[in-house]
Amino acid sequence: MTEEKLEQLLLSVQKPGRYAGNEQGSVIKDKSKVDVRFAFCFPDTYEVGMSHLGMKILYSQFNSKDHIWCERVFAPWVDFEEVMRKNDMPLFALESHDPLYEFDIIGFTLQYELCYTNVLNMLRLGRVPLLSKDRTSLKNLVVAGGPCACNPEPIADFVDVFFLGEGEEVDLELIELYRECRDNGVSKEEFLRRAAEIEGCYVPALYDISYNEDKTIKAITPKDGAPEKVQKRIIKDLDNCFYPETFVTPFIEIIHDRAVQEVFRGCIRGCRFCQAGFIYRPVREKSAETVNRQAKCLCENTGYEEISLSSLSTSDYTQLEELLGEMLDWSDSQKVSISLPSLRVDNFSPELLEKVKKIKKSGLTFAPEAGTQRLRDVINKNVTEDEIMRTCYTAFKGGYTAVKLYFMLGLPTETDEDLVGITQLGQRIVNMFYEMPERPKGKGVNVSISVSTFVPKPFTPFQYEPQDGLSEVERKQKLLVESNTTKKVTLSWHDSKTSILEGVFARGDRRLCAVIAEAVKLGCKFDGWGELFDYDKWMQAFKNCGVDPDFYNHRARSFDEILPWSHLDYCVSDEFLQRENRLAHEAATTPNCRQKCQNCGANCFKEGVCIEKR
Amino acid sequence: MRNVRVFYAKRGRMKYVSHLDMNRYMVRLFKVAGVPAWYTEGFNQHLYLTFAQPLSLGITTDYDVIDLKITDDSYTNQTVLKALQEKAAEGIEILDVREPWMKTAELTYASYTIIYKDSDNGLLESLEKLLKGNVIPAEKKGKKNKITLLNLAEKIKSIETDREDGVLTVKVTLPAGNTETVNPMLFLQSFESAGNRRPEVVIYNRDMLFNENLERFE
Ligand code: SF4
Repeated sequence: MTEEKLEQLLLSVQKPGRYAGNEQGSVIKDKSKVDVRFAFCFPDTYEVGMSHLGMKILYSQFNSKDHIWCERVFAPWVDFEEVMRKNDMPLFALESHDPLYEFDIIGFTLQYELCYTNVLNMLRLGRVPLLSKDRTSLKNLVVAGGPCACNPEPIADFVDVFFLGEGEEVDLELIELYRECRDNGVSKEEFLRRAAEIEGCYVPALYDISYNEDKTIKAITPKDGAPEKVQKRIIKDLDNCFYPETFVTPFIEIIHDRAVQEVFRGCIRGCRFCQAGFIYRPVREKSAETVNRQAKCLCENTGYEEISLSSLSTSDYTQLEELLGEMLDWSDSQKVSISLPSLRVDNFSPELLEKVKKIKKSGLTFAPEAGTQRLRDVINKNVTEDEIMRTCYTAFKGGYTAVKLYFMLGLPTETDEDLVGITQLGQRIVNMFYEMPERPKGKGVNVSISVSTFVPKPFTPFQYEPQDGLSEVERKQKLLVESNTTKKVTLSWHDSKTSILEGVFARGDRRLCAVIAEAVKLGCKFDGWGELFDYDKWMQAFKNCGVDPDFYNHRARSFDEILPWSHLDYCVSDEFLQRENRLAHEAATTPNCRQKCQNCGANCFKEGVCIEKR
Repeated sequence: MRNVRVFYAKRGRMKYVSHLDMNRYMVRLFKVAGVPAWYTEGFNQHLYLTFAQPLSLGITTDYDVIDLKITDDSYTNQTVLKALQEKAAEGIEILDVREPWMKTAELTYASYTIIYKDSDNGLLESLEKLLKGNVIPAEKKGKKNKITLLNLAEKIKSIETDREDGVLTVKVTLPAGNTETVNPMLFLQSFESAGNRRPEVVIYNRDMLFNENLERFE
């Protein structure tokens, strides 16, 4: 494919900027002078992938090494895929425009389960054999990391090595091993055996899975010296961990077009439905000094006029006040606005509130997640109705007339009463607005309620729970609509069919590999995109492979069942998860890490919040 | 505070950057280069810059112009030029920085080079025919997708053609400015409606901007 031909083709698609590369901050190296070429693949569109912090960190870090050239590859949108197929053009990387099959290592980041068809489709378009066993040499080693790597079994046949936990250290260790083995003519089998010795590297080919009559797992047996359990990696000292000095700044508009500064990893809260709250334990903070320095540097180098302070729950940052003070010293004069996503207003001091006033508020949203206090206790979402009402009150007083609330449907122990509680809470907020003498005059109020379907995830206390089936979800959605008594409350939800699939893959096993390959053959891709998701095709794929999706979703698992991820160790113990599960069924809450350590297992690292003075 | 005009070329892969995206990019470029540009006051403060003439996606240019205001008088044109040159993306060539000599309103014409593939001479023939008849119909999409019909032949200030090795080069000067702008991509349509297959375009390039008297816009 000549560059001239490519130009012609690019001008015939919707958004050529997705494929052109050449952005400020993108890294071009001389390919004859680098030793390892790494294709960093994000299995979604450019706009989604370019908004993702993890990719930015690893892209910069890999490229900071002279011998590695890391390039970006995104899933082509359907219009461009068609052009590529018609013109016999393989999927290529944005920097060099070289085809995927020329790369030494092809790495995917797995941010959500519904991207799996895109992973396969990208390999296929890049002319890389799909199955790990069909890639017999070290060329085109396929690796993957990200949150879904905590149960990667549904795509285990396609990937050579999974990275468990945080990638900054383990990725580079694997790349070094790769160089050494390749240069010494070591076979792929031997390389994989050695890779399995690196902490945080999971080589699925080295584990045999056997099944019981009832289709549950009988045993997971390591071979060739692979460890019984593969433990995740974490970065111990975030202050001294690599952080990019600049980002690739796209020309076209992306989802989050701003600088992003990470302030800590992990979350102290322990909401029982939230996978991130468990797999990223323990909480480790960066010092305010580091955050401030890195943030300033990023703004100067990217030219961004907005920086967001990112973490799972930024208001839990212990040095927030100090940090904002330091940042406001330069941000004003640099015309940079600071944004704080995921704010909880309950623990704000008056001084902090004063500072936050100067800061861009990104809409007014809360996530009570459940409609009654009982159910909020079940999921350990420690937000009271009082807090929700107070926050809305303050907001209305400040001139806001619209709030957005997030809830989940299908939570364990949920009753119809809990569901009706959702719209009732909406109604009470509306009532409060009209009872306020100081409400914004001449304006109506809008409470928009977004309801997603709960999907139980591995490494959470709810990993044992059954997921609601389609008809039950639809019944509950109808109930919600009927219980809504005011036009001031608007209800919305995602397609419940995608949640079914998400659930199957979240807790699925290796028998799903064939189903995913079949679905790709049938043309499934971009399953997370409502307009492209094709439920019927998926059901066809399950049928063709003789796999029953209900087996994965509609079954309560006993505490002693071997789960597909039982050999992966994210340092939250089974005892802890089971205890939390029992407490959930008693509607008993658990204090957060700062209030009282629950000895969850993450203290094995002896870092962060686990060793904080309480 | 003083006005400065930045002259630049936009080439290569930069042609995929639309006008709107180019605006955002330039704001960031001025920031990254540390140019003390003036911001508008008020509620929605933003870096103030004006493009003399927007450029459609897919067209490169040898000569384009942005105006802005500089707040720190100790910054010479030379300093700004150097700073921008150092930080500009591959494909953006900063040609010069100096005070504006003409008003933006004086901009009237732009000249373009368009290179088509023309293996069988068909394109040249039909273009010549169209020019002789003095009617080259085209549809122009305006605001809110409103379509107006126009006769390109009447809009052409000057045109030259040259055909060599299966390639047709058209150099054309068209209105570009506050009162009227004609996009050179409109010729494609006219070829098609004159019964040709959609010609393959190799290059669209804007060569120069002019005032009413066809003097270089500076
Ligand atoms: S060991 Fe204790 S402090 Fe550490 S993450 Fe677990 S519960 Fe929190």
